[in-house]
This record gives sequence, structure tokens and C-alpha cells, in this order.
Amino acid sequence: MQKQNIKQKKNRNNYSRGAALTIAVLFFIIISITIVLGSVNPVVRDLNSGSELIKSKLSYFTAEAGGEDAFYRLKSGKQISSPEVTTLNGGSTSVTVVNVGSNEKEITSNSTITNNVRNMKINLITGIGSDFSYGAQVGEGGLVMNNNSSVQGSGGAAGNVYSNGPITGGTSGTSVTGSATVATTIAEDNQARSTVCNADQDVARTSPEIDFAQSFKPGESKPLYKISLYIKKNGNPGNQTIRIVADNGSGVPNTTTLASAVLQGALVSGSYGWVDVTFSTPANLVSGQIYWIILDDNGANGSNYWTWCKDSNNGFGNGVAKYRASWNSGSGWSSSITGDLAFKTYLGAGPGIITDVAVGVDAYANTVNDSTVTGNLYCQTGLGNNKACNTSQPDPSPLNMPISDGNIVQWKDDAAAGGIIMGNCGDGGVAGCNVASGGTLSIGPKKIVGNLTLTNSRTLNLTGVLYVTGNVDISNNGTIKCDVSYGADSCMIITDGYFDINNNGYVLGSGQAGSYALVVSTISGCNGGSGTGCAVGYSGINLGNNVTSGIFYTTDSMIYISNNVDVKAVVGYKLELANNAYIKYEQGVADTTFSSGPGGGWNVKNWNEVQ
Amino acid sequence: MRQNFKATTSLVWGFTLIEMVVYAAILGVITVLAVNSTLLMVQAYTNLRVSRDLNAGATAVLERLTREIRSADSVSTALTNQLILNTKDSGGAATTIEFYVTGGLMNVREGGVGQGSLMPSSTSVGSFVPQALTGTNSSAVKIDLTMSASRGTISKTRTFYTTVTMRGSY
Repeated sequence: MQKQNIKQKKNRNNYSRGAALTIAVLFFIIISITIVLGSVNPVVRDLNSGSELIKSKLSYFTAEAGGEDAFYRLKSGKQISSPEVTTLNGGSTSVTVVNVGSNEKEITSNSTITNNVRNMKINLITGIGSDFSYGAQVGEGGLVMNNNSSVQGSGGAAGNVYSNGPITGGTSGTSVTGSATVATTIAEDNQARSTVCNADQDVARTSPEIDFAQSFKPGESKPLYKISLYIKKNGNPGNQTIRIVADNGSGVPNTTTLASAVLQGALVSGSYGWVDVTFSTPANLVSGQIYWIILDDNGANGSNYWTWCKDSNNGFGNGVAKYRASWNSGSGWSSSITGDLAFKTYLGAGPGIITDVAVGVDAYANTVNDSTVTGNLYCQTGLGNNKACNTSQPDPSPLNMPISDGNIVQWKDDAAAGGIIMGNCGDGGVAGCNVASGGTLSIGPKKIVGNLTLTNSRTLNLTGVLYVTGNVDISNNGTIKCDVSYGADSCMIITDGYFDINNNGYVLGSGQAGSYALVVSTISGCNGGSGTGCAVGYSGINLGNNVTSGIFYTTDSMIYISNNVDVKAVVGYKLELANNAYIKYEQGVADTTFSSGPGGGWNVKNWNEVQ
Repeated sequence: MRQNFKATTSLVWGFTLIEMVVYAAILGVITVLAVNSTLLMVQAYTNLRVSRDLNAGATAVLERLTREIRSADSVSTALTNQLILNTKDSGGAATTIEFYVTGGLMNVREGGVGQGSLMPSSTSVGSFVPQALTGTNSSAVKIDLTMSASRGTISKTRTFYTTVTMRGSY
């Protein structure tokens, strides 16, 4: 019995052995598992949130991709269904295209990748809206109206004229049925001036330092209305001549005077001051070209001479100063002297002037002469009018043209994107651009590197913007018109050369009200009087015929209305109406939308993410 | 007697002093190792949480900044610790949105009305340097954002960069 007890005790001892260690091990295992789980949990959560973030980004870029695809399809005239479903990045995007009015589309791209929804919205506009608020809007070149010519309104419109240059009427019968406004346009050119004065330069004191010239580059293409010189006199040098000449290409003045005026000795004092010299016939400067101001003195005189102030270190970067005994003969120009002669330039057509016009409503200009005004005559000075000047209003400000150079560049790009035709079009045109007598060709958007001629009942139907690098001639029932698909929008033709329409040539809209054909000529150097490569009357656009649905625009040249012409609106650098010619303005032109056409020209209005 | 002796010898169980010392030593070493590794793991866990806070905070701030800059029209003000964007609200009306750092927190103000902080409480902004970039056709904003996160004695600081084009300016 006792033996059995002892055995039991021994067994119990055996079972108890190692219990402490087991408990400790279990304890540590539990702690370890807790810590490991505690660590794994945030790691897993981190992984999940990271993966959700990536999916959200994938969803965003999938939505972007869907929107871009739809934009490309619309822009390049490719097929698109709505909704268009694209599968990408393990998800899909559904793209819908909705028309918002006639000139706007809205692309919505909804992307979903495992519950990560991102939406993009792109708004596209079809064209550029322009506001032709005047029957005739004229740039710095001004409006020349010959005998019995007129600007009229129709259908309740007044037929107003707004000009940044002078309006000059003929001897009899010239009239504007609405208001005539001429802006005063003089602005200092900040790029073409040197105002630092810290050194003296004697002029015409000793030979050969007699005629001095200072070069400059104008910042804008505008007439040079006046210059200002920082100058003083010694003794009495009398009156001398200021000339504006172009550079001869070798960094010296050439010998053709573009404009000249008298430097009045009486206006110059014995101490330095700014002295204005105004040109009655301004030179038309071209931005970026080099021009010279020449002080042309009769000869050296040791006691009667000028001192023209200059800077001492050539601080004016856009020009240099030189001298010569005689500006156009004898020994040549010196090399550049140290310093730039102090000068300022003022660009613009100068104070607004209206002369010899019967104005049906109000007239606004700085100066109005020999005119009959039915309404109010707002001017500062006037002579020979039917009433006295009302001086209560300031001079009108220049009005910007309704189409910018940027618009024209974009339209040219839109045209070129539709393909390029090398060679002439219309009569005897190259393959793909030939129109048979009496036939019709639908074309556009296209760029034509050549001329366009339409005679003998040939018709060009514009399905997109047409850009002609050469000249355009339309006569004998030749027609340019907008395709019916334009609806109420307007189409356009742009030419780098001239545009001449004669003998029953036609320029027409789509047939719907509010649709016009816009004709743009970017030719320069055709402002009447003389020129090469210009249309009739040395003009950029010549209208010798009724063009009932045409709007005409020149950037740098004259529009010549050589016959009884019924046009919607003309906008040009300069406008001349021949004897008996008239313009009839229609109200609807005031808010016209131009479109590069159904085949292109969609542009982004906005592009953003939406909820 | 023999039986007695046998019984006596078999009943003498127990540990010698040396055995006790050895056992105690082994247990001590194991305990120290265990506690040490536990502390290490706790520290690693805290480190992980700090990194996570920092990443989550930076993600929240940068995502919001990216989204707002992308839809903005232009930059009104870009100074250290302040960015004001000219943008449009959901109705298309012009408004401003401002990101500014105050008390180490990135706050947002929409149309002049404070919307509170964008960040978790354990994080703070060291510096926020927005820079307006203007190209020929588009403009963008470059962001340098230095953020810190801390728990107990553990603290981390990282700098995050991003550049976003402003779509509203198109």
C-alpha cells in the first residue's frame, strides 16, 4: 500500500514537471500572435487603401481616355455612337455626346473600376462668334467716300460707321444714314523710344556731323502720327526737316522719304525739352521693321546749331544713331555713334476727322468739317458744318476689329488639317479641284496652294473652311456658297492674295437666315493709289457686284466698293466707296457665329472632372 | 530496513542550489529576450502606424490639392504656406479656393469660408511651398509639401512633390 502511494506521488511529480515553462511559452505565443495580428491588420488596411487609391486613379485616367477618344472622333469627323463604351484598365468607361444648342457639344465620360467612379465632362464649341455691329467698321486707313456714295441700314438697322481713321466724303451726295464715329488713335510706342539723357550731341555744328539719324523698330503696324525729340538750340538754327525713312537693308537709312515734317525752330528753346513733330501724311510703319528718324539740316554752322540729348552707353536696344554730311548724297553714313538720341514715337491715325459727309443720326469725332449732321454733332473743333460742335463728349476710343489675327490663324490651321491641294482651283483647276462650266464642286476644309477662279456659272459649295494662298477671282455668275449643313452658321474663305468679285459673281450663305459667307483677305500693301498684285483700285478686296450674303474683311488692305453693291457688312483696314456705290447693313450680322464646318473646328471650351 | 532505506532514498526529491540558479538564469534570459522582442515589436508597430499616418495624411492633402488645382483657372496667390486659386464652383460661378497652413495644419477655405483641416490629428505640415509655373499655352502649380507625423517618441518627416496643370486655364 505504501509502495503504491509512493508510486502515485512519483507520477504526480512527473506530470507537474515543466508546467511553468509551458505556461510561459503559451503566454509568449499569445502575446506574439496578438502583436503579429495587430501589425498585419494595419498593413492589410494600408494595402487595401493603396489599392483603392490606384483603382481610383485608373478610373480617372480611363474616364480621361474615353473623353479624349470622343473628342478626337468629333474633331476628325470619325464615327461615334452614344453611349460609346470603352474597356480599359480592368474597368470600363461610358461616353455620351449631347448637343447643347447648335454650336456646342457636351462629352460626358463615366468610368467605373470596382466601385471607383470618376466622371469627366468636356464642353466643345464649334466656332468663333463675332460681332459685326457696324455696316462699315474701318481701321486706321479710314473711309473714303466718293460722290453720291452711302452707307445705309435696312430692316430697321441704322447703318452706322465706326472708323479708327478719318472719314472723307466727296464733293457731293456722300451720306451715312446712321451715326458716324471716328476714333482718335494716338498711343506712344513704348518699344520705340529712348528717353535717357545724360550726354550732349551737337548737330550741324561742324561738318560732317550735320544730318543725324536714329533708328527704331515700331511695336505695332500702324501709321506714325508724330515723333518727339529731346532737343535744345544754340543761337538760331532756323526751321529744319525731319524725315522718316526705311532701312536700306545694310543698317543705314535709304534715300526714299516715307514722311516728312518741319522741326519748328521757334518751338525749341535754349534748354532741353520734348519737341513734337507731327506728320500730316503719316508713314505706315510695319511692326519689327527698322526705320530711321533723320534730322536733315541745311549745313554746319558753329554758332547756330542743335544739341540733341543722348544716353552715354547705347542703352536703347532697338536702334542706333549715325550721322552724315548730307542724308541722301555725298560720303556715306558714319558708323554708329556711342549713345542713342532721345526720342519718342506715337502711333495711330491721329485725331478723328469727318469731312464732307451727310450724317443721318449723330457724328462723333475730334474734328468735323463741311458736314451736315441731323442729330448731335459731338466734336472739339468744326468748320463749315450745319451746327456748332457739342464739346461735352470726349474723343471716341479706337475699336478693335471683330476678328483677331488668332482667329484667322486657327481657321487656316483648320483648313490645312482637312488636306492640301497643290495647284489652281475652279476654271482649269488641278485634278480634284477642277469645276466644269456650269458645274458644282463641294470642297472643304481644304488649303489650296494656288489661285481660285470661278467664271461661267461655276459653283463652289463650301463644306468647311477654305484657305487659298493665291488670289480669288469670281465673275460671270461664278458662285461661292456655304453648304446647307451650315444651317444658321456662317462659312468662310480666307485668301493670302486679293479677292475680286465682278460681273454677277455671287457670295452666298447656306440659305438659312443668319448664315453668311465671310471673305477674309490678309494681303498687305494694297491701300489704293498704287501697288502690285492687288485687285481693282489697288485694293485687297474689290466688290464690283451685288454680294447679298457676304461679309468682307481685310486685315491690312483696302476694300474697294466699285459699283452698286448690296453687302451685309464690311470690315477693313481701309474702305473706299466709288461714285454711287453703297453698303446696306442688316441687323442680323451683329451676332454671327462662324464655323470651320461639320468636318472640323471643334474646340475645347472647358474640360474638367465632375461628380 | 532495506525497505525503509529504499523508501527513504526514493522520497528525497528536490533541487540543488545549483539547479535552482541555472533554472532561474535560463528563465531570466528567456524573459529578458521575450520582453525585449515584445518592446521591439511594439516599437516597430508604432513606427508602422506613424508611416501610415504620414502617408494617409499626405495622400489626403495631395489628392485634394491635385483635384482643386486641375480644375482651377489661374493662381491668385502662391506664397509659402498659402495658395489661392481662381476657380469655378459646381454651378459654374467664379470663386476662390484657398489652402493655407496654420498651427501646423493644412486648412482649406472655399469662397472665403473656412472648411477646416484636411489632415489627421497626428500629422503636421512643416512647410508648404506652392509655385506657379507659366508656359506659352498652359500654366501649372508645383507643390513642395513637408509633413511630419509622431506618436510617443517616434516621429517622421518626409517631403512630397507634385506638379499639376491647371485645366481651367484652357
